[in-house]
Amino acid sequence: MPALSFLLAWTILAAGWEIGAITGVLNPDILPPPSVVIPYIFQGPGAAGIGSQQVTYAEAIAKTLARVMIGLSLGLMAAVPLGTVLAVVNPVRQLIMPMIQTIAPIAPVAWVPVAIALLGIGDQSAIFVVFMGVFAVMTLATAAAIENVPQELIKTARSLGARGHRLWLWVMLPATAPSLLTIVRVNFFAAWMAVLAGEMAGINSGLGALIILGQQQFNMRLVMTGVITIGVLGFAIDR
Amino acid sequence: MAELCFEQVSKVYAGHPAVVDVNLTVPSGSFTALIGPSGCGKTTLLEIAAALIPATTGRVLLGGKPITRPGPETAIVFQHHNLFEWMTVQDNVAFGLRTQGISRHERRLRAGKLLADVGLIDHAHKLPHELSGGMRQRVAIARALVLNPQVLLMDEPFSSLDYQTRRVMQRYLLAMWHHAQATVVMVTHDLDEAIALADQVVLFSGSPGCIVETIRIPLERPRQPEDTRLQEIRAHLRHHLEKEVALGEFTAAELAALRREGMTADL
Ligand SMILES: Nc1ncnc2c1ncn2[C@@H]1O[C@H](COP(=O)(O)OP(=O)(O)O)[C@@H](O)[C@H]1O
Ligand SMILES: [Mg+2]
Repeated sequence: MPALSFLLAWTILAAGWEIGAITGVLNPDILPPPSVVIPYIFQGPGAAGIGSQQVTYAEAIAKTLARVMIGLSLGLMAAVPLGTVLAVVNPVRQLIMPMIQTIAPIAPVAWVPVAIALLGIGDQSAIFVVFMGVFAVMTLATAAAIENVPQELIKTARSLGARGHRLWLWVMLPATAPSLLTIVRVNFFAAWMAVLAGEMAGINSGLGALIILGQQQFNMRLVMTGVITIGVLGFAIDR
Repeated sequence: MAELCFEQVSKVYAGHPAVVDVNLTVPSGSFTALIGPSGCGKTTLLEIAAALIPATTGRVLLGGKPITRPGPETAIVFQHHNLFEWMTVQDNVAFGLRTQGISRHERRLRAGKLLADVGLIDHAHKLPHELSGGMRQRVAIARALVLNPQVLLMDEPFSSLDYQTRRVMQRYLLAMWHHAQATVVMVTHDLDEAIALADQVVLFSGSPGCIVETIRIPLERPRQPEDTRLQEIRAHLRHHLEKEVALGEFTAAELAALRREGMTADL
């Protein structure tokens, strides 16, 4: 029963935290206990911030999720065709592969200044950061997935009369589909990390910004709300 | 059914010759076994005959016409079944019909009939990973036969099966072959398999590979392994193979030493 064991783990974590706060081992002003944070979340942590920087909890969640999904989708839509071309057309591979390999290891948060300079603060920047965080890795993984389709499988399909777009649609795509799903799943985490890093590092909206705002106002309930929300959402979406 | 003819076929991979000057005629409707040490280009020859890779020089004729691209007249089966794991057994068998634009209804009919012939109709809606190794290879053969090919090329089709299953599969293949009336070329490492099935056994040697001998076995099938004529052929083939393997494994100096020790008197 994995669901049960998760419930148990969370209960123990919350209980330990609560006891820590009551006994004073954990400073409740810095780490407000669940008995404070959970009601705070359910009451809806109201608007924090002032003026144009004001963020509501629900808005922050919606913004962050939308950025992850759009950035990840765009990344996938770019990576699959490019990865395919890299795997199949050798001259393109020779030229483009080194570029992609250079971009892949760059931490997504490093793109934040570039994004802000190019696109200002806002959704476009956040999506750009997510895109840059996943696009190169997904391209390399797609190329690898295609190259890993056994040559004999392709030869068998060709000898049975499959060629051109049918070979791709009926054999290459389904043969790589499991790898592509894994690629999306793994990169969902990368995208999730990228968007939060971006939101904390200057794109002043979304869940990441909520945490920074809590920090600036020394509203630790808000900080903990952000942290818990990130954990729960990341966990839930990966199910 | 048609005669398959290799004419002066050579293949060079990136400067390395794999096979040179292969001339071989496989009579219409006959069964030919290719035997030789690994790396001598047997797979290469089959893939050239299936038009999956081009010959560097020479050509392969089917019924007098050069083979230029993969077509329904030639089918190939590898050691690994290469079934499409995401398709049911029936869809795997029907794949060749689908590429030929045959209607769904007729595909289901023809694949179903073939599956019934090979005793797998109860498994038609399973996925390949639910079958045993022998069943998977039977599905692979059924899939290859679905377009009624004139030539069936098989590259060590049973080597990954255990001994008992292999024997059963050989009998099964004889029955299918009888039924399908195809010209068969089969690569094998198993001498007993070759002499149990083939009308002619072609011995390959070395690297780059070339044909060293062609042995005809004009005996009725099914054959009795105890048959003295088969035993003689078997001994001859074994001698050849061991010599080839020794030449591949040991240097000339090592072989000379072995000969002095009397270990390999006949090499
Ligand atoms: N795609 C390839 N590229 C380069 N060399 C190859 C390729 N395929 C086979 N070879 C080489 O050609 C020779 C013959 O290979 P193969 O036809 O597989 O032999 P066999 O089936 O008799 O074991 C071997 O030396 C092998 O390494
Ligand atoms: Mg081989």
